[in-house]
Amino acid sequence: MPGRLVDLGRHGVQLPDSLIVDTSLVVAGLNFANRLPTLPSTPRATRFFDLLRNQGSLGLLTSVVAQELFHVAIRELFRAEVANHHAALAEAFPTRRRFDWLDLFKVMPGLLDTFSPELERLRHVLALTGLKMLQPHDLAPLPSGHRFERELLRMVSHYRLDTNDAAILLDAQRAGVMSIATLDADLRRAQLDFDVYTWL
Amino acid sequence: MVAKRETKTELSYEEQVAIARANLERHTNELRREIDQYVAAGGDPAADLNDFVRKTFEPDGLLQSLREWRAERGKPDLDEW
Repeated sequence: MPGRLVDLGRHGVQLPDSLIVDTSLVVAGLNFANRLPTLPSTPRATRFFDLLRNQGSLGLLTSVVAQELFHVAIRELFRAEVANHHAALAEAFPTRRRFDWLDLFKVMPGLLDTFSPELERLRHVLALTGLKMLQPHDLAPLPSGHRFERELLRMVSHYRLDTNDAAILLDAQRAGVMSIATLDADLRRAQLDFDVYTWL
Repeated sequence: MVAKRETKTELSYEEQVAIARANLERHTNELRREIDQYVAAGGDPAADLNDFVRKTFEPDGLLQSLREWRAERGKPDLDEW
C-alpha cells in the first residue's frame, strides 16, 4: 500500500510514536544549537525536534544514519584541528599549501583517540533528546532466502535511490517502521511504501 | 569425549520477526523511561545538546562538513532544500 507525503510545515501535524530520521535532518538540528539559522533547513529541523519532544515520539537512527552522522562529526573535529597542526601537515605534504580534514586524518589518525569522549557524549545527548540508534537485534531477518546485497539492489531499483538511502529504508523495513522524516527530496520516492514526513 | 547433542530448534521467520519487534519495543520503552527520569531529575536534554554542540564544534562547522560531504557524493546543496 502506498504511503503518504506528510507536510511537516503544516500546523497541527501529528508524528507517529516512532519514525526513522534521516542524517541531514539530525545534522541540521544539531547546527541550530549553534544559533546560526542560516538556512531554511535549520529552523525546520529545530521545529521537527520540538515536535518530537512535545509529542513524545522517538526518532530512530539506522546504522547508515549513525555512520553518516559520526562521519560528519569526525571530519568536522579534524577540520577544526587543521590550523593547529600546520607544521606536521607541511612536512607530510611539502608541495602543498592548503590542507583539509582528510590530510590531517592521514597524518595524525591518533587524534581520533582525543575525539572519542566527544563522540561518546554526542551519542549520549542524542539519545536523551529522543533519538535511538537501532540495534542489530531490533531488526527482523530478511525474508527467507533473500540475500542482503540482492535485497539492497532491489530497494535501489524499486525506490530509485542511491545505496545509502536504500540501506536506510531496508533497515527501516526490517524494524517494521514505515515512517521516515527527511529534508532530502530524493527520499520522497520512498512514498511507494513509507509515510514520508518532510516539507512540501 | 562425547559430543553435545544440538537441542536448539530453528526459529521460523515469523518467530524471528516477533522477537525483533519485541526487542525494539523493549528498547524504545527503556529509552523513554531514561528520558523521563532524566527530565524528572531536572535535566534538560535540549539545553544539554545545545551546550554540548556549542562547546564541541565551531559555529556552523557541522553543517559545513555536511555540505562538503554531500558535494563529494554529488548530492544537492542544502540551499536547494
